[in-house]
Amino acid sequence: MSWRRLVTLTLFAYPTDFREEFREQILADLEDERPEPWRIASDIVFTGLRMRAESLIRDVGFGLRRLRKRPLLVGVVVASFALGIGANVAVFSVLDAVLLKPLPYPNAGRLAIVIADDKRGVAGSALSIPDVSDLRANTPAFEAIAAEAQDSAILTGSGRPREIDGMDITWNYFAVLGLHPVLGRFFAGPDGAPGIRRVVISERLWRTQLGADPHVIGTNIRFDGVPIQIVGVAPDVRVPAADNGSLDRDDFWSPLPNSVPAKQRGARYLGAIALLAPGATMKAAAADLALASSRLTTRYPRTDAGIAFEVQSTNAAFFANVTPVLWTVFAAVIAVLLITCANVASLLLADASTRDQEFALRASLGASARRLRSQLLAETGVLALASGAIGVALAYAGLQFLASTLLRGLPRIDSAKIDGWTLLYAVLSVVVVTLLSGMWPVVALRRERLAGTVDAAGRGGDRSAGALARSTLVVIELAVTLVLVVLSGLTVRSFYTLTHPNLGIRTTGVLVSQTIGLPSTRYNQLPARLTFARSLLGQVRAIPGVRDAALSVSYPLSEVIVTFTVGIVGKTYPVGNQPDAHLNAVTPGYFSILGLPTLRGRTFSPNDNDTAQPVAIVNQAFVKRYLSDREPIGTRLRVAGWEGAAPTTATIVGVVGNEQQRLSRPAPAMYYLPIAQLAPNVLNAVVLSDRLTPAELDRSLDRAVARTDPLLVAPKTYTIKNLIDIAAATPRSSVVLLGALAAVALLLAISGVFGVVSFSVTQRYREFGVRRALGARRSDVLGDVLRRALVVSCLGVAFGTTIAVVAARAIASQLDGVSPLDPLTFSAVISLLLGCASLAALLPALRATRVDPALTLRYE
Amino acid sequence: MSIYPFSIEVTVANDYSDVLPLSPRSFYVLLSLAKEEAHGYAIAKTVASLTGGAVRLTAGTLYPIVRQMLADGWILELPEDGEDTRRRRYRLSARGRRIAQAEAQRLDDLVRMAHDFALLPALAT
Repeated sequence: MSWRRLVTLTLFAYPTDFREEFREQILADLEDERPEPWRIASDIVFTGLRMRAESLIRDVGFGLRRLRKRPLLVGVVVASFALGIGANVAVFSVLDAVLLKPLPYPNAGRLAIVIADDKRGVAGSALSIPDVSDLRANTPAFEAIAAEAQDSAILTGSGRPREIDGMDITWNYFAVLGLHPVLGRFFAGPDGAPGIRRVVISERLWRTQLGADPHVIGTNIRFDGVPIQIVGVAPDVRVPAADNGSLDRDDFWSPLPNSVPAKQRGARYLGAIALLAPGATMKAAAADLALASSRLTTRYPRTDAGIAFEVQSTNAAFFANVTPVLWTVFAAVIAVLLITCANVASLLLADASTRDQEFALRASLGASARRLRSQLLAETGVLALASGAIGVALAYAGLQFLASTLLRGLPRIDSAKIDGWTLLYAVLSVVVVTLLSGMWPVVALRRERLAGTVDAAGRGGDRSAGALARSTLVVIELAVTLVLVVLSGLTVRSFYTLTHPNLGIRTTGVLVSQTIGLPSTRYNQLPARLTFARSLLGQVRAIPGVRDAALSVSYPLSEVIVTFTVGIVGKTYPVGNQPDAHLNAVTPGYFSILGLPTLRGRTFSPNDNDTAQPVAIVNQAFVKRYLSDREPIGTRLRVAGWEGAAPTTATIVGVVGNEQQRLSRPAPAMYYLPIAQLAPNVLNAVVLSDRLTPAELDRSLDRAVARTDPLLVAPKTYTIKNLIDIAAATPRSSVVLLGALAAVALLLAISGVFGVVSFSVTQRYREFGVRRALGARRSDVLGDVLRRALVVSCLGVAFGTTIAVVAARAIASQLDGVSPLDPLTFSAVISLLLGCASLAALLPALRATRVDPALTLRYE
Repeated sequence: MSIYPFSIEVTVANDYSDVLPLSPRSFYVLLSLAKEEAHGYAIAKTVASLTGGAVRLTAGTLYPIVRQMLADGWILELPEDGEDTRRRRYRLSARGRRIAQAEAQRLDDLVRMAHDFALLPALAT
């Protein structure tokens, strides 16, 4: 770049009017002599910026002095902006903390989740240990792959036993994350050898249970009464549980066994986290995995047919549920801020049109139009900046409130705070808000208004330059409001459907407990498990207030869903295409307590025990899917044994009604086996009681479990209603937030319509007076004002409906049981908006009819 | 930006106390115009030679000062003389001259004091 061009460019640092005035002289000087161009350029930039800063300070000072005389305007504008910016900053900080911030591990940027997409739908997305070793050898795009399975243990030793959560991990798990131990070491290969029991504990457990003892490494801790050697202490961060799609706060990690027989290739229960090799992309990883999948399918058709290994970003794996909700709410707060801007803009326009005289006077005193414009903008800027500061304070307070109430269930919500990025967003909002609302009066300030003839405004009606601009603003405002109200209406309807599900079961008077896991150290034999189940059931039945009780492995809306392949004897299936269904093992009372109807045959009886013939019960969905061609009763099923026990053949003795396992999902095909014949090592209690609350039952269950096995921890109990509430927590936050935002938007829009119509009526007072004097009736005036308001409202509603159709389709995936184009919601919202707009216009319109013609004529 | 197209010469020298002391640059600009009118580039060159290069005004820094002085009525812009239409010539206004004089007087007083207090050799009387 030639020095001349450089200097010419730097001239833009000067304020425009100065540049225009002195440009030629400066360039002429440069031609005469060519001193160091860098020095001149830097001189120009520094001086220019200083001049700009000085003029900004003057404008701001002027703005402040002027605004001091208009406390009402300032109050309204600052309050609306502060609320709008505050809501934006709060929601942004949540979005940032939950979705945008990298995970808190040094390798966060290179982490990916590997899933096994099972086309047969049997195993979900988990992997087996042989899968992980196969993939390690076949995917150059990954530097390492770690695997993990959730685990829990009962911490014994001091005081009451306590259940703690943990993971079984491959030795490289922490290395893949890039974490370092607080104390001691993480695992190495040999730690996974059979017979060795070692554990890494969390910093939290170390501090709370072991008094932060610095010599803890090498000592023992007791799990389920068995001593295990502590080798390290892990830092206190949430770690990815890919098998569960969550970030968990765990307390211990034990090594997964190193060597697993190849036959367990089909035992898929692991989550896998991979570290991308330096420079490798997700795309390359996906290609590697696709190749590996097809290779493995050919090599192990029995276990790997239909399995496709795929790669997922950590965001998709851990935040898939909350991502659409958060973005929708974020879009909604931005929409509310836009409506606020429109409202404030029409206020400022109205205010500016009362200042024609002031501007004309100042223009005649030599102020350039540019100068007046920048002063107008500076006034808005001062307001927005003050509001921004208040807004950040509001966001700070609001964030604590939201995080502890509505948004409590969101992952990583505890790390949401006002930080540098949030402040940057706040500054950006202030700038955008200043421009969006401040530009209208600036644009309306045309040269002809500065030229002089000021008193013409008002004579022939509302002809002030801002009239069209104000109507445009109302159209925008109503359109955005309509979109918001439609979306929140759809969400409310969807939420209603979701929380009033037809689960197919009795929902009142039923309490269920979470799962009790029987530690394998003491319960690896079937008789021990059966004895425990029998004894526990007896204890629970004896609890005062319990009308009936049963045990099961799973229950509607339970965390535990067991899916097994199941074969129908007499049918052959192509490899990899075996039927699968949800399995539940239950004691006989289960069906009557949940009110599941017996449609055919019988339910289980106490006689269906470990010595009797194996029996099974299937549900309607199972019959429909797999047994439509035959009589279900008497059909024999080939069912897998629990945890590697030998498969058995069970005869179907009954068909029961469907129970739904997940909200808003169709009831799955299910088969039931008697607990007495399956002997599972996970159990939960299902209790029928008219008067026990979960808290009361918790206390009794605690005693019942302690009497059965003092080393076990009693689980918490819930009513079915509780379970629905928990399952609907995320949709609830989105409903409440969207609803609140829609309500705010509606209020703003109504006040916007009211303000604009009201201002226009004031402008047209004389016109109405003249028309009344010339014989127009009150109803003519009323009709005229209302008609104009209605035209503007209809335009807004029409635009809004168009946008709402697109927006509703965009959130269709979040809607349950309601079409995104639900005609009821749309028509209700359109009528609501038109009704509100008419009401808001009616008051000023009535005022227009009360104009006294005589009084007006006296002025003419 | 000049509000009044002419300077109002009703003030007395004493009343310049609110603009004094001048920044060295402003003083040199006024000084360079004291004898004769000049265009911007000439002003910069005079200032450089007056100070032996110690105070350097480039095109980047000179014109903001010129504009401020025009706005405050310290200097006046002369009509174009047809020789170089891009350049404009400036001369000192009566007000500007008084301000420069007041500043010079202030500096002179300071120098006298320096002599009286033996910071500088005593003046020959």
